Amino acid sequence: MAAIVQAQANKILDATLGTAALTAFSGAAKVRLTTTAPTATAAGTELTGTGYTTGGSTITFSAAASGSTSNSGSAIQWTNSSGGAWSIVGLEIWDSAGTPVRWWYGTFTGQPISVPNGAIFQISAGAITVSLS
Amino acid sequence: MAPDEPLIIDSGPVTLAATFEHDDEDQEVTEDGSDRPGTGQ
Repeated sequence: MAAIVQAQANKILDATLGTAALTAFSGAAKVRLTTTAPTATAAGTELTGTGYTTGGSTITFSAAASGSTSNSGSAIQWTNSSGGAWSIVGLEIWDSAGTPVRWWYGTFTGQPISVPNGAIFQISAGAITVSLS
Repeated sequence: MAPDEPLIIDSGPVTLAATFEHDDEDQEVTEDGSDRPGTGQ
């Protein structure tokens, strides 16, 4: 199942075949929540509403080992104070470039996940596993 | 009485696995780039 944005996969191929230098990931990683399913070529519709910060929240990952890594640190939480339920479908990992670049994407098991007003949606440490093989 | 704790909905595990797919069996390629015929044919 694809999980890396097609444009970034192309960059990795080019960088590892001598075609072009890699355009590196810039700054902190941000996780964005989406209300539609993202694809390899198109971002999902980002969640909006009080309690969610447009542009995503900072997320950190451990150094990769054996072709895999996962998010580290504390759980990332969003408290829905929008007055209505959130319907969350997917997530995306973006960098912090001046014009942010989307790198990875996926959908949550059992999506769409409904988060009632007043409830907290969280991604626990270690919940997101990213691998390349 | 303590106020109710907010409901916490956990995302559960998410796997983002990118795979550069390949055939299980390596295929020989000749110097001119063409596929090498099978040895039993």
